[in-house]
Amino acid sequence: MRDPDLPALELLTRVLGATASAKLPSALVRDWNLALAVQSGLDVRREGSLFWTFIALRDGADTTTVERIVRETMAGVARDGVSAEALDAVRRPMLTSERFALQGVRARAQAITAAEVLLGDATLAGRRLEALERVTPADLQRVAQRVLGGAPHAVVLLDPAPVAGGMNR
Amino acid sequence: MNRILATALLAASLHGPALAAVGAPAPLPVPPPAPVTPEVRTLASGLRVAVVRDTRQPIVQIQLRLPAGTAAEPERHPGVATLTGQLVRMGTSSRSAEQYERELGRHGITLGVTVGRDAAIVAMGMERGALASGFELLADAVRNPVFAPEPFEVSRRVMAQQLGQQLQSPAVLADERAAEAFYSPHPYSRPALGSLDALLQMDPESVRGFHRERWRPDRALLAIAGDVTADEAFRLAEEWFGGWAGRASADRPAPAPAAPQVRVVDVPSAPYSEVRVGVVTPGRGDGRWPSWQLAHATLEGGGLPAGARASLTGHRDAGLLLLAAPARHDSVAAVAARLRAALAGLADPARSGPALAATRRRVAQALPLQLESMGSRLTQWMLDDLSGLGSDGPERLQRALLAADLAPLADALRRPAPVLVVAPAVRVRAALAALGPVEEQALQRTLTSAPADTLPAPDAEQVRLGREAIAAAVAAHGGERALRAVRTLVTEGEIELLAGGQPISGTFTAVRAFPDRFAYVTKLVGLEVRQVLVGDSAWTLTVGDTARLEAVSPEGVETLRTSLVSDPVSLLLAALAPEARPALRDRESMDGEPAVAVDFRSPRGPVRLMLDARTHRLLAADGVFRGERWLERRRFRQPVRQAGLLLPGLEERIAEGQVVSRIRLRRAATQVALDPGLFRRPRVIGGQLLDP
Repeated sequence: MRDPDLPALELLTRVLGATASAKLPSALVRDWNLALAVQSGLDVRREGSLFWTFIALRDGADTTTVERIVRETMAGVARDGVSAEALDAVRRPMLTSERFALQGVRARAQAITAAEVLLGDATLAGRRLEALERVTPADLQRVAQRVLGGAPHAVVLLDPAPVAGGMNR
Repeated sequence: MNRILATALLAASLHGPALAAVGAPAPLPVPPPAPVTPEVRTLASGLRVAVVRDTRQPIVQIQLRLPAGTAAEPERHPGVATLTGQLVRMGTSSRSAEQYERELGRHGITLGVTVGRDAAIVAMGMERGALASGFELLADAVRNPVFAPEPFEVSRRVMAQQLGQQLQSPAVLADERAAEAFYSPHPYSRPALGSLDALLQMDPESVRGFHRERWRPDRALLAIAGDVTADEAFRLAEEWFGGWAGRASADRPAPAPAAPQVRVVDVPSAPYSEVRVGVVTPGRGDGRWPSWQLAHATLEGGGLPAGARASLTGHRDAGLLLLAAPARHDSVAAVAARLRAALAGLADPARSGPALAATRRRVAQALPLQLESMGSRLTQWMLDDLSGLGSDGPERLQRALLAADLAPLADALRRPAPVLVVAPAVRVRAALAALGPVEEQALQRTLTSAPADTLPAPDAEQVRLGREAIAAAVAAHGGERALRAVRTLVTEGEIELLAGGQPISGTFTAVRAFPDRFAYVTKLVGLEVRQVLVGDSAWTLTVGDTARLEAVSPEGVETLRTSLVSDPVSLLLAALAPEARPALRDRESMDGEPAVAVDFRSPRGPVRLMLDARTHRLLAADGVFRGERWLERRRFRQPVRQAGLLLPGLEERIAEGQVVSRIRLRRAATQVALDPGLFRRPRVIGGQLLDP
């Protein structure tokens, strides 16, 4: 949560999987027709955060292929980065949405409380949008290399078929 | 933060004895709502443009109000206002739906369309830097939508599914039908989603027509609030909306609401009942509106029976204070009586004490919080404008709330309020009779419902000629013996539903097992609908993504019985019956060929048959005789001989002069052995059809 790369990581999450036209849904749903739905998110905590991607596979889809495409897509972002236009395409709706939300007293109070309680500095609430504005394509690429390449990761498969033992991996 | 809290607690403990010594603290002052003082100009097209500067955030909100709410819909197209609102963003003359959404996303612009009873409001939010793009995209959606067939079908299907979900929830169904019942016959009684019948009869041209009639600038209002100067906003408005032309059509007449005393919406399968009791209030612009808000807050603040809730909605011409509660079937009358008593209790003079004063303050204090966003303030201002209130609406409303009293409502509250119940009618009708005359309504709505008039009595010569003409027609269609031998008749083919242009195509199968079984199966826009009549009962099975089984109301059973005997074989045999007294009254032409018109009395009401004067073939059958006019016609064309009978290869159904459907016969069979499962009520559990 205190990591200076957090704003870039939030935007990277959106680039990868926050909307139907993001990179992972585009690859797995539109291009390869291997998944019904794909979504990525970031679970932000004080000590360490979790970047996750949820994939609902089509019946019969090969999980090894799906994993390979996920890794290649992420590696592509780390290797090639994203254009300024692609970055803005995820940043602008995010900023608009947050600015509209902050019109309300309750939303502002919650933002200030979260900054004070979790970060120890209420004034950080007012600087979050500025930090998102400052993220550059280079920041995004650097964070992708840092987080998507070397960070520990896990793959969980949930098979709804009546297999003894339930989860098979 | 903890330091602050600790300091506050310490201060409170130190001052506690002193506060106790001087009594309860004086109430805090009621903060006024932020004023909305727009600068307003009118463009040459008649479009009014209002601008409110607000620089708290680098964002701008635009709202466009159009006279395109559900109250403005044409009678035959309920649901078209909502459909139009959904479709304006789904393809324009220069952008596909995908391109439009991509452009919105690229600029970080949000867009929403809300269709209410009085108006449709298009709302757009954006960062300051995207304002010019926002104006261009808004103008594109509002002025240039194309209503292409594919998105039309998608939206229509979504609405049909929403209607299906509504039918599966007694609570949602009750809210919707209560508004219909209590506002009726005012146009506010129109259901937002329309009906399945009406949706199936609409096409893209229906939506284009509504858009052409009501999405016009002369009665529209464009409001812009946010980090923008008035000059820049007016310049952009002129640039993108200055050339917008046309005038909205006149409003329909709006008769005053006159609710039935007690109405039951018959849902035989409802596991529990839902009760609604309502009062139609004056509109938002009326001086008593704050008192109604106070009444609503008083009910919500402890004036309701356990498990009940209250809502208040306000529109230009009227509003509705609605009390709602679920009930067991055997408790419906008691629950309705308690809700009525809660309303009447508001008129008790003993209410005007400190509790009411506290409620006044609570409602007045909440107003600024409700109006803290630009969007909510703009919406409030637009609704105030629609109701004829000035721009000081929020401040004035707050003052009025602080001075409001329930006394002006006493007469309205003491009158027995109308009641609507969603329940199996057979379980509740006797108990509800104690509350007033009970009216029953079918779950499925039909577009026509008034009873048919009777025919004038024919003279002997007309009857003689009528019987001769019918005998000739029977002979032309295979002879009386062949017609009477038909015990089962199965027809199938294609069906097209039309409403002004684009047809909706599908298939149909009609299975008639005389005298009292009938199954009519249509497959349209991905939905299979099976209507089945067996004796005195009937059901409808709808199969789409999920399955839904509904019992058919008594009125629906009558409709299916009429359909069972609407084929040429049944019509001719009905005209042969001694009590039919067919009468030849007119000789006229149809499509340039000489024809005779023979009317007769049938068990299902008056019928008129148009017969070819030369071949004696059946050309058309007319029904629904009202005000000396026949409102419905089945036109039989392209005769084919199948299964030994002369049957129409093409049948057009014409309602009030317009072709609403066509069916093309592909196959007919008589005397076939029917699958008994066809007339067995299927089982549907959790949306799954267990007996296909």
